Amino acid sequence: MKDAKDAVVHPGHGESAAGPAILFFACRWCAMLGAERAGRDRIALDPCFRIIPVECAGAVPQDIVLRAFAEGAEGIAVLGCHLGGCHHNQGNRAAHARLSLLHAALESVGIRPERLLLSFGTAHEGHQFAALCRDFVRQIREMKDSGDLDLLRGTFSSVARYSGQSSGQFCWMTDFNPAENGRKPLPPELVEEAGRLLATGQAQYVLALKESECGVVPEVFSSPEDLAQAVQGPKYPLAKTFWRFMRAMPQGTKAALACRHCDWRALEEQKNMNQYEGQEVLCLTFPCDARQAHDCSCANPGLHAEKKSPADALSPDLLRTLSDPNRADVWLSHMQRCIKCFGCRNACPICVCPTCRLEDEIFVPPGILPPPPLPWHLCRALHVADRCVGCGACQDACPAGIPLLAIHNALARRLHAEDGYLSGYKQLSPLNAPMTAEGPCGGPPPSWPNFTGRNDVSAPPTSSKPEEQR
Amino acid sequence: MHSPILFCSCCGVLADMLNPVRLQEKLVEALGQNAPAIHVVPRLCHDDGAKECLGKIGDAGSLLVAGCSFSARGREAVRRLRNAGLPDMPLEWVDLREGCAFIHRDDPAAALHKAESLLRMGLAGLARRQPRTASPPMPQERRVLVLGGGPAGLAAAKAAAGSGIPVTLVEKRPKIGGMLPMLRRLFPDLSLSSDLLDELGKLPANVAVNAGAAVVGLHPALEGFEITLGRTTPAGRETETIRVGAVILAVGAVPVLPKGYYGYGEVKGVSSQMELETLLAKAEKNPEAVAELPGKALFLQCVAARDDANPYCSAICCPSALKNGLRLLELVPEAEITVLHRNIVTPGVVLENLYRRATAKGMRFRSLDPGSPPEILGGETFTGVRIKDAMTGASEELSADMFVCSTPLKPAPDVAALAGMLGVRRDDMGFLCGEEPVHPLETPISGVFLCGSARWPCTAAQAMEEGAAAGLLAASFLSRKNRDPSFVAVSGDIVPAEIRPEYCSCCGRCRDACPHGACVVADVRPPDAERPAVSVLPERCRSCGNCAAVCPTGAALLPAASVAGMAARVKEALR
Repeated sequence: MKDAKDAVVHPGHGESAAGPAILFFACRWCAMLGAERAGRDRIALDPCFRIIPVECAGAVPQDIVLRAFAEGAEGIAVLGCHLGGCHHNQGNRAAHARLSLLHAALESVGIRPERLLLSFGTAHEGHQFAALCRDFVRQIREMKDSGDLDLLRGTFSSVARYSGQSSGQFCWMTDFNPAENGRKPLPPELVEEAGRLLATGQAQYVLALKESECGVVPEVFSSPEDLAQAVQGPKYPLAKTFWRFMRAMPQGTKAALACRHCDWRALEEQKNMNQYEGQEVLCLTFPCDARQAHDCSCANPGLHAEKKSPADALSPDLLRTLSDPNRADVWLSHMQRCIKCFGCRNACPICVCPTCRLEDEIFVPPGILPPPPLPWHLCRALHVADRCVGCGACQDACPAGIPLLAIHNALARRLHAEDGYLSGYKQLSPLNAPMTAEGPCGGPPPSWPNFTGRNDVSAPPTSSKPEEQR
Repeated sequence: MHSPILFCSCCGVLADMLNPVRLQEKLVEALGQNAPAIHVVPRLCHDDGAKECLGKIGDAGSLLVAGCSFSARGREAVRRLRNAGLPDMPLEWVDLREGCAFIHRDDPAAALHKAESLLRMGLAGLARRQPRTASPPMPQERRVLVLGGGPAGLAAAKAAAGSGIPVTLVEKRPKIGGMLPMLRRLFPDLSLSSDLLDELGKLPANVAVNAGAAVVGLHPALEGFEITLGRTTPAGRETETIRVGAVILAVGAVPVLPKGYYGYGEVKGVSSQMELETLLAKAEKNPEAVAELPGKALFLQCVAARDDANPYCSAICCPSALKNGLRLLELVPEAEITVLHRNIVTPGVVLENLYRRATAKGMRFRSLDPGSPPEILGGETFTGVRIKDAMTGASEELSADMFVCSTPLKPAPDVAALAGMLGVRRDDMGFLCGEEPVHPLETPISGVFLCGSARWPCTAAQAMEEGAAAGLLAASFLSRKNRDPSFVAVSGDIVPAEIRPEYCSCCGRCRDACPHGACVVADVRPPDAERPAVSVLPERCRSCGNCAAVCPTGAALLPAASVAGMAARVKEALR
């Protein structure tokens, strides 16, 4: 079985093993049974893969897959039960939703998405498992030398191969012109409404921006007369400030926030994350002007009633980082500038966790600068994927000017295109598979996969997307 | 310190393929002084093998067993090890036979290398088993709520109560019985429904019957489900809240009225099977009323069924038509009955015999093409129909006194609201969905069971069977102490997930992702607490790990199969 010319020594598995390092996460109810059946049938397989049994395909965290890539895996397969036949109800559907988003994330930064194989239902039979295993090993073997591995492992061995972009070009910290942009007072009807809330006691405080001698700062207003000093901008991550303020306030506090549309959606997501239980939170929003919306690549600045896809406002710069055939190199040059300042996380209105995986050495090893980009930036992007409102606070906060919004935008676009999901509008996240009265959330259930009982192990490669297998 | 390794040589088969001595050398090479000793035992799946190896383990706190695949002989081996006195400790099973030796026979060196890394992966996972940190599991409320007092619900209540679990039975009508009081006799043996109802109505003392009450609220709570019952009393509307550990949905189904079909309600003489049922019941009690019965009757099957509105066959309208025909023949022996049908559906031996009895008694069956339905003759009073024979295509007129439409059952109107409150799925027709085909009476929400016509139209006998099964399932669900031990050797003892409050941001992702509805976010945070509490209902948790996979902070943890353990396995696999 082993070809002499293929016997290349590879560091991934130590000296005595040949072949790429491949990991299988196999659900023990279907895929593991298929693997065991292949063993019982004595089907010869390439020894370069390792199987990690899991209880359910849905138990494989995206972070672990990223981590495995960073550790040196060249191909990872997650195998689960047939869609519709999961031992844990909707577990495999959720696994599919989450890991295909990871697929999209890998693709957006230029890593070949074929390195991650998701398969549901082909692995139950020994022969099917063997065929799938062989195809995948061959596929990974063929793509071995493609340059995306540097970005996978965060080794940065080839320094800045890509010179088309200079650092700083992606810095969106626009120099606001006070006269035309931002420091306008709040719209009069909003001031009136905020004043009414304060006067009637519906809100004890209103948080808004205020012009002071040291610039524009967030201010807690408690009397209606002071509200005249409130201003609209410049852009400020007010939702995060509001969250911090409310954490410090006792239960029963009633407060309102006068903010931009994106802050309101972030506030909705924070409410969705049970951050304001026992407190009353109101929100008064004003739309951003067209220039601000353009600067933020924002499709929903609050100017129009109908909700738009994040793709509608994609700026050419963002598009370039996501569609360039050499985008792996583009991203490599960006990621090399990361100084691990945690600015993106600290500014993010969605990042409200008391402990953060970016501080967990399992996912981001300490003492390495720049940090491995996959665990760092993709881990964060995937954590907030279905909650990210695209406000761009992370990107504005980044002192290295990494175009983080591009990754977030790519994931948001995919969620919108596949499931019609937009964050901040009280929709159920398609990344979980909660049961609703109409069936599983995240689109209509796919039909049962077609079983042909394929016994020909040398049949053409299995496609990497479960949709295509049906 | 690593756990000792038991290497089951499978009577020499495995040892021939993977030399344990070489394996030990390689392990020492990789792990140095810390490398655990590999103890070779001939066969673990026999008692002699199991006893022999216990001495070799010593006082180690955990154990790794390498041998065949767990599904081959692993379960048996673990059972024998435990029987032989292996203490209750973390145990990891590594498959070296099917997972390595058998599939890499043509490359022994690579197979040995892979076996060594599989052992390291197992050791790494075993070392990261986390001890349980959370408080002891929350007690489930030991009470079953049965919704619906029909034959299914009554049988369920009886079965659960018979197992010692208190039951609350809620029926929205003023009296229990479901559809039984509407029917006088039941097929196939034409027994009296009142006899059955008397029998079913003899409920054990631990069943509390709440007739005339409606469910106004139902949601998962920490100990199970919280149900708000509303009832209208002379004093006004009052509500009551009860807590239960399991819910059995036996809400049944309702007959479709043939409104808008064949002049029903407008033409005199066109009726439904339920109306014929009432006439027959009246005639049975009072011989004078026999005169109201038709001498010549036409039954039409599949009215408002198998069409766009109700695209299914409820498989219960044919047997009821046969039953009513037989009863009519008993009361009016000279009656002429013709059944117009698309095809008669009488599944099973018992119902098929009912059909044969009907043909033997002289009921006639004419098959019709659904494309050309019968045409009602007569103006305000029904006189007959014009039909087109499905076989000959010839048009024909049949005269009769009565035209009876057989209609299917459809989901009860309040099923949608109940399903929404509980998160139970409904099928295209609106019936409740269980976990077909393996666990048809169970739902994805642990502790919620289905039975009777709520999941599909069924006969009273079938409803009672399903009800009894659902009642026993609920009782065993609430009595469960030990969990499924089948995965014990692969990923450790099945222990429910935990949420560590110090890490938890209360974002609710675990609740959204849990396929079993086991993660619960408390509605309001307790006073003085910084955040509302998230907890796992241990009885519902099946340790699938979805919560840990989505938890952004690592607060959700499976002690036996933690994310850290998975990361350690990955690291060893790629070393």
